[in-house]
Amino acid sequence: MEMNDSDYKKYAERRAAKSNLPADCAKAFLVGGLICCIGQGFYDLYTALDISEDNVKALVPVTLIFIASLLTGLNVFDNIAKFAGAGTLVPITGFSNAVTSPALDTKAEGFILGVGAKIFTVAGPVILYGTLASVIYGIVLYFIETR
Amino acid sequence: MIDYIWAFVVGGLLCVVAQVLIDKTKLTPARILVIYVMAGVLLTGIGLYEPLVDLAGCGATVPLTGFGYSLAKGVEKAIEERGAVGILTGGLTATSAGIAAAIVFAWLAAICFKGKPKD
Amino acid sequence: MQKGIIRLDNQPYIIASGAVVGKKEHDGPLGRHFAAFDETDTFGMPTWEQSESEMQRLALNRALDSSGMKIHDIDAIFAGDLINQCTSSGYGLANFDAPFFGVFGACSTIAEALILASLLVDSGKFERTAAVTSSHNCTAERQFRSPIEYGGQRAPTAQWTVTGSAAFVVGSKPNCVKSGEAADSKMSCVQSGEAADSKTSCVQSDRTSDGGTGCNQSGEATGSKADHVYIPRIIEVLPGRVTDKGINDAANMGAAMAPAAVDTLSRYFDESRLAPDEFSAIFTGDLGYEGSGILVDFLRARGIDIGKVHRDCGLMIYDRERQDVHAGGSGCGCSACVLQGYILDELRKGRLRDLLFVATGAMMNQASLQQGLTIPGIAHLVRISASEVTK
Repeated sequence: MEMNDSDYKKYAERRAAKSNLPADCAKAFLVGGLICCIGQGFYDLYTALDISEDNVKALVPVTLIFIASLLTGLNVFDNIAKFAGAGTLVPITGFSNAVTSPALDTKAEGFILGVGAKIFTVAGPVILYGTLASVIYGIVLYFIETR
Repeated sequence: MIDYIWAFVVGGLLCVVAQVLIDKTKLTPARILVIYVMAGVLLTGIGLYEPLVDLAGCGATVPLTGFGYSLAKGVEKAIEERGAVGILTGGLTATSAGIAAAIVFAWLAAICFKGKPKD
Repeated sequence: MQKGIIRLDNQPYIIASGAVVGKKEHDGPLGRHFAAFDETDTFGMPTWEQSESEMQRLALNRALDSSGMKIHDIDAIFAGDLINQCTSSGYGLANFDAPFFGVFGACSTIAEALILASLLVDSGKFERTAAVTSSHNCTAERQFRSPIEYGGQRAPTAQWTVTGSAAFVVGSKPNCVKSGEAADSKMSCVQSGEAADSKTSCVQSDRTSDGGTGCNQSGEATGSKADHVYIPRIIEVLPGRVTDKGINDAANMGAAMAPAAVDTLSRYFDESRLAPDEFSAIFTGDLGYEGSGILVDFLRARGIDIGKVHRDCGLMIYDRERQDVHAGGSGCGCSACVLQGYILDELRKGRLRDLLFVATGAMMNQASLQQGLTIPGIAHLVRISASEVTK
């Protein structure tokens, strides 16, 4: 049973308790699908209220972000997420929670160096790499179009 | 009604893919979200995401790939309207409502609420 | 030559102990052993870091009060926790007028502190020393993982940081200082404590369940039926060595720490020539479900079968199924609170006679993990026996 480091690592991974993939996926599918349907519901609601299409497209994510932020503040989002996994992570609700939770958490260190400096500790990479990707896409697009 | 079924199925499936990544790889949620946003930009760029949005509506725009989609569409529009400067302004302009909302609501939440121990 | 097992000639006594825990720990299988807890986990403090410090203050006060001691009876305190620069200990014990040593051994800290505390008492330099550790789920989450309200799923191999603090007083003599207020102060010990400010604490105390603390047990509290009592003594110690077998998954600390426990226990049994079955029990600290299995299997492969007597503090403190803690508990407070609430209690009642207490720690931080470094583990061993003392 004596083994070198890489064998030990493999051994530990092999015997490690595994996630229940089918159950996790089913829960992610249900909650994720449901959140998208709620988004669709707001989309139809705002459209019915004669709001312009551009504004509806902006308001739907804003609404979902508000709800997720509120649920995070009320200490229930993490419990839903524990059940739903990627089902709450992947929709825009996950982004909202990723901004709100560090804000709540770092309040103790003050509103400048705590909330102010740490609010994007979790969501920052998404904004950074999303923006970076869009700029790269823009450069490519620009040169294709002007050629 | 059919809109809702497509939104449910497509949105749900995008979550399932991420769930498989969480359970089967050592990728952390933050990495998965980064991959999703960049994949959204890429898929929009090569013209694959737009049809999905037409089909599934919020099922494609609400997941984080949809955030990438908005970034890419914003860049397309801005370049068309104002040229090279649009490369820089397009992405964040199109997603500004979401980012600003997240900041404002998060900040307000920090004022109003306090964290509680996990159950 | 490297020193192995250190036999303590004077076998110092653990003369007093005290603990406070959070809600989840009080709801767990050992709940009735934890007399003092706080329903909100805040311990009346505005930030989680201050809550953890407050727990250390309360734990040490409970230990002192349980035996009617004052802080001036303590010659030195060894204390540690998981928070940067051991601030939980520094702030929590700031108002105690006693020489202070901060120690760090991650989740093994209580064993490290007990080793140092008992060695100094054994050497005769100090008469009484205290060992205190704490961990708080919220401070650990904030520092090592993600914001408390962040919605993430924990891996099935992940462990749950215990909210709890325990304090122990090690002395060269079995009797503690008996002062007049001893019996009274026990009832209100959370609120009292000479060294600390007298503000009212929010900690609840189950008076019915006696946590079993030192002299009260041996004195008036148990009545006069028994003419002999059991007092735990530290017989031997074996300091651990840092062991790294290449695990870099912070969600599987059990696997990272198990090789250290294998190393320490193999060295112990090789040198002592004792068999595991000669002990009432072998307690490991915080290996959890993953690490416990690895430890038992590796030792068995080396011809040491601890299966029958092995128990893990991380598995004892929570109900894994009911409390959703995945692989079990962890943190400086985990093995410390199990030692205080359960193990010492059983020793004092004579139900455990001779045991090994092996606390394990995983010594990484966020930067080391993000830099892709592997997680070194450590396991410190303390042999504790119940010594029969005639009144």
